[in-house]
Amino acid sequence: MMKAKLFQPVFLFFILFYFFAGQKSQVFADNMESDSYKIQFGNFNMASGKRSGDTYILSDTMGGLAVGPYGQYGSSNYFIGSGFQYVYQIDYFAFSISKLSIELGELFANSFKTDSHTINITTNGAGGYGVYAFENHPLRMVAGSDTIIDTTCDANDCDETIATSWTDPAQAGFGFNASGDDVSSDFVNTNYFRQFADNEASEAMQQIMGSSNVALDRTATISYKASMPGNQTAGNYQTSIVFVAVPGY
Amino acid sequence: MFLKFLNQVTVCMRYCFFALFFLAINSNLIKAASALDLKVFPPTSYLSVKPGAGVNHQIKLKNDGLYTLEITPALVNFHSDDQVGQVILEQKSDFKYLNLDGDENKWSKSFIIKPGEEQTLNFVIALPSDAEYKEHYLSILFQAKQLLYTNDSSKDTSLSAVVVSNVILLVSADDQNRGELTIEQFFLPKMADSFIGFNFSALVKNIGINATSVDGYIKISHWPDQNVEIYELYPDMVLAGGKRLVRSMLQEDLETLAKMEESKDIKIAAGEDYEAKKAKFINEKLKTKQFYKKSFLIGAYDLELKVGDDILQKRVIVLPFSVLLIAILLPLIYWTFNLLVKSFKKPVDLNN
Repeated sequence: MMKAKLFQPVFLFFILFYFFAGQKSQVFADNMESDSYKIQFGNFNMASGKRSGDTYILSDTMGGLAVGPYGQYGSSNYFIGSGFQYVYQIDYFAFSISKLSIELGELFANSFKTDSHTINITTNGAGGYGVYAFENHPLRMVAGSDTIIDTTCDANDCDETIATSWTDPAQAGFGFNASGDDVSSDFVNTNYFRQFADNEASEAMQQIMGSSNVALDRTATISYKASMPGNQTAGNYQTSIVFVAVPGY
Repeated sequence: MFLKFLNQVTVCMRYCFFALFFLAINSNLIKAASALDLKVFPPTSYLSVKPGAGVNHQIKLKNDGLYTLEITPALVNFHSDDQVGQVILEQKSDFKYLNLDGDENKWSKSFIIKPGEEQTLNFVIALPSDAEYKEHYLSILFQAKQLLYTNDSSKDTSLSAVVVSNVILLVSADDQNRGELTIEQFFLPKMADSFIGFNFSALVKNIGINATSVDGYIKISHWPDQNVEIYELYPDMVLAGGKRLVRSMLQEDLETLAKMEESKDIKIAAGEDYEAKKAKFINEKLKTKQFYKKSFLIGAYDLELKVGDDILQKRVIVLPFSVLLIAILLPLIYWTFNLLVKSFKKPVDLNN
């Protein structure tokens, strides 16, 4: 009974310690705050020392510290009188994809197969961002050479640059829709689809999401849809999709 | 003996329940990990290097996703959209003096980054002594895909990501700022309605040879008040030879932001999502196109735009056009209505 009495506060202490200590949010950058240096203008490097190389003398940018016009943690000298030091602090640019494979399953004529995932972006800065997408090639049969063309939508009027309505499975093809934060305005609703830019055909990747503002935890859902023409072999088709996340300046 | 054991078990269960309860709360606060979650720092760097000199530029990559990633770095040029500071990637770069660990062969070679791991990559910029004085716009691409230990015989469509870190590199003999901003356009209507207000925006051009930041204000004055509103220009960077729409924020809003920042710790302690609230506030107030509206505006409003040493003044005349329009239209509508009523009225037969 004595042991149990001793055990109770110790256990309680560990639980409370875990709860309160564990709540700290993740911090990704080293906290190297500085008000001591004055940034004269945008182009600079914060040299912290010199290294002798074979042919060059190299100075360091200290792991990218003070690499923007404002300094990582808002060097206040730069903003004297303007008050913009609170607008943002340069930090990690983060991009995530919820899953890494799209399972459309076996495709059959005149029926849609779909799948989706989310993408998320945090710029931690006011410079904005853009997310682009492209496919390495059109959907191609896993064991074979048959391909499914990129969708042209219901009225044969969509391509990799513009989304239009696609609800008729008899219009065979492969395309995607984007919905959520900061998505391109041509995705009017979840029935509006676009082709992916085809890298094999040297098509330029296209922007699907973007903003010139501060982006904090911006999420979009990417939905994929495919249907097969009636004269084609049923089976599994695949490609690879690449998302390119670019920070603004 | 058995009762004592039972008592201890009960106590244990009680505390386990307590622990699980807190764990559940805690896990709700932590975001579920994504399959691919890659972070890069810094997103954009501004570097100045002299010909014949060099600099170590370090970029941090962090894998916060569920899988081990295979990263392949690549270098391309970029150009600006000349509007909002958006980076438009080009297909390739012929800039030879920026290499990972100083080795040009490392561009196409991939490396591994495990979940939870952070790597600091050292990019060496080493310029020859005859390097041309010029500003280079470079993007370092990190193509990330899930490391597969077996042959890729998947029936599914695979997804991968490219995360970018931009480098704006000035080749210059000294650290002198040779950026110079001029006002390219100041968009303001000549006339506006008293009840609607007016909007304004400005495009600036950098006629200098290096990127420089916007500095200045937009001031609205209306007789007799000389400073009705002052909008501070956000210090966005404008690349050499490039253009950019300026972003501005009202001085009052900047003060509100400063007050918000002062009470940041209290708000966070109270469980408020401070960063989300702050981002929302900034996005609402810091804009390229500002809209000036009060309950009623009248007369001439003078707007002064100052960017660097360049000053431009414009005037907008604000009158109650909507009231004038209604005043003209009302008698017309009344007259038309009366005419219609008269024409539909049955004629009176005087003989009966």
